[in-house]
Amino acid sequence: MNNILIVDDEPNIVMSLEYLMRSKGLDVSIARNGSEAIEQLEAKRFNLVLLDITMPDVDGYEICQMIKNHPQWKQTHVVFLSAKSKQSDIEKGMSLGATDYIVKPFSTKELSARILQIIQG
Amino acid sequence: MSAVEIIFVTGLYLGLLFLVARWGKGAGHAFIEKYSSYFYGLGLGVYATAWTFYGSIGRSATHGLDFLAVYIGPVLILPIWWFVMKKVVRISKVQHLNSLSDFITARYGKSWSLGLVVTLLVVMAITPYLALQIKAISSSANVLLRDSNTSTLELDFIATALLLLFTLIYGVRFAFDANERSGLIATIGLESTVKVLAAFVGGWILIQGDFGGSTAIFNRAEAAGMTKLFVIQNPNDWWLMLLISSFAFFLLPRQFQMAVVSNKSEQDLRKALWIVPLFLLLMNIWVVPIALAGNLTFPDATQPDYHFLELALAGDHNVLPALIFVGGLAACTSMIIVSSSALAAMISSNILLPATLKRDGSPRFDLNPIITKRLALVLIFSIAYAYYNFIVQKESLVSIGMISFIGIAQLAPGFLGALFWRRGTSLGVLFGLLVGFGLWLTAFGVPQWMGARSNELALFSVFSQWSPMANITFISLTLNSIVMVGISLLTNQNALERSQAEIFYNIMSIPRNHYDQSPVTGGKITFERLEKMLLRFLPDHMLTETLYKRYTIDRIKPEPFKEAPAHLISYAERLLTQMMGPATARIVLSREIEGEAIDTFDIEDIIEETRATKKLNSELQEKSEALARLTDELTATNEQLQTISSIKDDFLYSVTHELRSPLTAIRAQIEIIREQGDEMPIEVREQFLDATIEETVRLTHLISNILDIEKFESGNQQLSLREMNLKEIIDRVLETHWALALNEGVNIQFSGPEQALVLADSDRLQQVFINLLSNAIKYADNAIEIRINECMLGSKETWCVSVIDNGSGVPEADVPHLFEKFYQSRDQTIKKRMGTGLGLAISYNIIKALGGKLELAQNPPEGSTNFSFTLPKRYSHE
Repeated sequence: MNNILIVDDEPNIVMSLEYLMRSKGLDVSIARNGSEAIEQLEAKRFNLVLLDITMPDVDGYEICQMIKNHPQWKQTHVVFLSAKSKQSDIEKGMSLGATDYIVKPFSTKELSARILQIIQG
Repeated sequence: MSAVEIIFVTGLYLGLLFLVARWGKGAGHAFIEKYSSYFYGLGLGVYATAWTFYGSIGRSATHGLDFLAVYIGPVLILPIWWFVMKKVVRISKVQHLNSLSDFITARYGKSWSLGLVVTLLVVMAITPYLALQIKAISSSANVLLRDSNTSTLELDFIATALLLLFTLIYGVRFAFDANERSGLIATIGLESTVKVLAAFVGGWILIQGDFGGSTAIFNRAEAAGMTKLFVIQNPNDWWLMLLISSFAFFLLPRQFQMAVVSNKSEQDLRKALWIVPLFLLLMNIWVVPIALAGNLTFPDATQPDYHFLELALAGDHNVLPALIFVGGLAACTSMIIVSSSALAAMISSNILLPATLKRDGSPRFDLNPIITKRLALVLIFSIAYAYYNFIVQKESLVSIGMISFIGIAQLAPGFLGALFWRRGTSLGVLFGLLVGFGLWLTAFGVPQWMGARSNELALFSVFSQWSPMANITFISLTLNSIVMVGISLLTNQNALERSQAEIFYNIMSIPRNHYDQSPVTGGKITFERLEKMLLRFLPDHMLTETLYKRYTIDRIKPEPFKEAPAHLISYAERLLTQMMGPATARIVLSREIEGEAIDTFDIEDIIEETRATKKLNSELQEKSEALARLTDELTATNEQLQTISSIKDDFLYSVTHELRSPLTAIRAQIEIIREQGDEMPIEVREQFLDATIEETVRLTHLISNILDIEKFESGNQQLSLREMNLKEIIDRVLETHWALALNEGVNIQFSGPEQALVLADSDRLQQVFINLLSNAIKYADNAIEIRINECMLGSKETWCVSVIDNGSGVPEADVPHLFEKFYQSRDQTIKKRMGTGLGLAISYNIIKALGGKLELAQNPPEGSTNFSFTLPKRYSHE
């Protein structure tokens, strides 16, 4: 199962991520904000969620918490992908049970390598 | 009670005293130190003797309320007592003074003759009083004994002997040993507790139990015609009793002993202010009812003093008589113990020790002060016992007490003068005292010792409305004071008197360290001779604890043949004083030092210095307060700066965060294009490239907006102001946005005057308007209305520009944050913004810089948004 959910409110970033992940052979779903992400999670089981933090409605931390506290979702890997670069932000994300935290802007090569490693590992 | 029982109870109680004294010296020392203020208050209870315990009842049985003055006096004087005694305690501690005679002689030039006269007076005034206590022990025992077969009991002798033994053991070393002092304090604490409990509880049981309460007794007494006992019978003598008993509370040797010598801390005096009145109240509360009950029960009683005991015996009580007897015993023994040891110290210092010295101060024979004190104790007990045996039968307890008080009161002028009058001389006090003492002796002493009755005093009755006793008191005290003042003014003080007068007078304003450091005594002495001199009089262990400790503290190297420093000599004098009083100490010291003992203690300098220090201190205080204020200001500023800096940090963090988004998109897209190469369909590649350009433009906008906001917020904005027509600016913007609006299906309407002049920067004004208009186009449903009207901003006439769209309005939650930087609406039904999040913040700042105000109109019509800004009106003639 190679299902991956991309959650981000920047359309151009979503566009790039979607293309990149598809080109690696992954099954990609898109959410443009927190509430959309929750809808997607309820509809479908994902291997991995690529999660932005700063979003207008429900922020990424809350979604991560929701995933990790949900009996059926908690196996889902969460990888934060955020422009928030402070050490305290990263620590907070990891403490919520995320598998990884990648700071924007990122190298596409590195990002895809890490994602694939997580999915296959 | 049988003789055996009485002896057993007495022996038991006195044995308890020995145990308690021993405990206080050893294990109890820490406990007494901890509760020193309570023990101090109880110690002052030594004021209540057999005169109080038994005598008050006797007095009340014959003279009504007259006895009360003796207790009201001290209570009334207590606040003054506190004020005076603080001084006395401080002086005595500093100068190592251990008795009333020490105190008076120290002030008046350490005059030996004055000490001698004071001692003689005190011994003559107090010894009968001591005898009185022995009499009370013996009489009370005989009252108890009446029921048994034994006719007499030598309890007086046994008790006196035991008390002598007690004082020989525990009443000698207190002057220089804190542990010994604790032993005595513990004993007196117990004695006070016992006597007050016996008086209060015993009285309560008798009155409430046997007689049905005070009211019943008063009613019965009234019926029996005893109403004259309900009032003060000699109101003319009241002032005398109040005055004399107040003085006694200061000056009785036993009071001085407990208030000054036994004081552990000046703080303790404060608690005495309520303990003493409470104690005296409890001691006296049942006196009148008992006296009346006694009179009612025993109409023919010859010894009303013992009504208390008689009533207890008459009732059906087992333990009560013993309790009352022990209470009386406590009253007697506490007085005997404290007074005799105080008298012994005076006799030793002023009579016995000087007798061991030749005229030049060299020793006639060696006696150390502990031995002379013990000798003095034996002497006192002998005189008291002899006096008791030969003379004491005649007087009731009260009259001897009163006579004793009047004798002691003769010390008042010299004592008060020592504290509050700098000009008094030793000769003045000596002669004043001799006059007062002589009159007192003539009036009371001689008839007393000769066996005459004390009311044969008609000789002195100058004021006929007063009793003879009041006459003699008034006359003796007045003449004493007049002579003291007169002769003092006629004579000169020597150097020592002068410096002591200044010290006594100013004691509260002299810093304590001046006593330890300033040389009081001139002259020279080697270390060897100094130590030898002290060894003659001080116990060995005391020398190690004092002098050698002093060496260490002051880092003195005692080389035998070198001269001791001056302050060490004065310290040695204080150690001697502790053992033998100031006068004898000075005699001993004078012989040992080469050259004259000259007092170089210059009080003026010290007081001046103290004053200067105080001034310096207050200046320092001011400075430090100013400094504290400055520090506070700095802290506040610092906090402000930190807030500003953290706002700045937040801003920077937001800026980088905002910059990262477009950069992320750009980098990702370019990397993908590069990596995919030809595999990427051409139309996707173009889509990616377009997105890259879009993000680059966004980045550029963002950067210029950030620079703008930074300029406005730091106040560095450059505005090129000129007069312009608002309408023209709006037209110019509308021209470029018309197509965009049409594209979005939005219709724009304008209303307003053709000319609306303002002073502004046209580019900035356009920027604001573009921002408002493009927001409106973005959020409008299908219509936008633009208005210019005249309106008032405060008292200023302004132009008001409104941009109103018919969209869904600004969500309530967003309203307070609209003009914040990088604020994003949480409402997801609105269209996705592509702005920078800075537009409104910048517009707000621009309008503010132009002297107007940008705001969201409150309560616009349902479903619309109305942003409006004002600008001051400009008239063409300006």
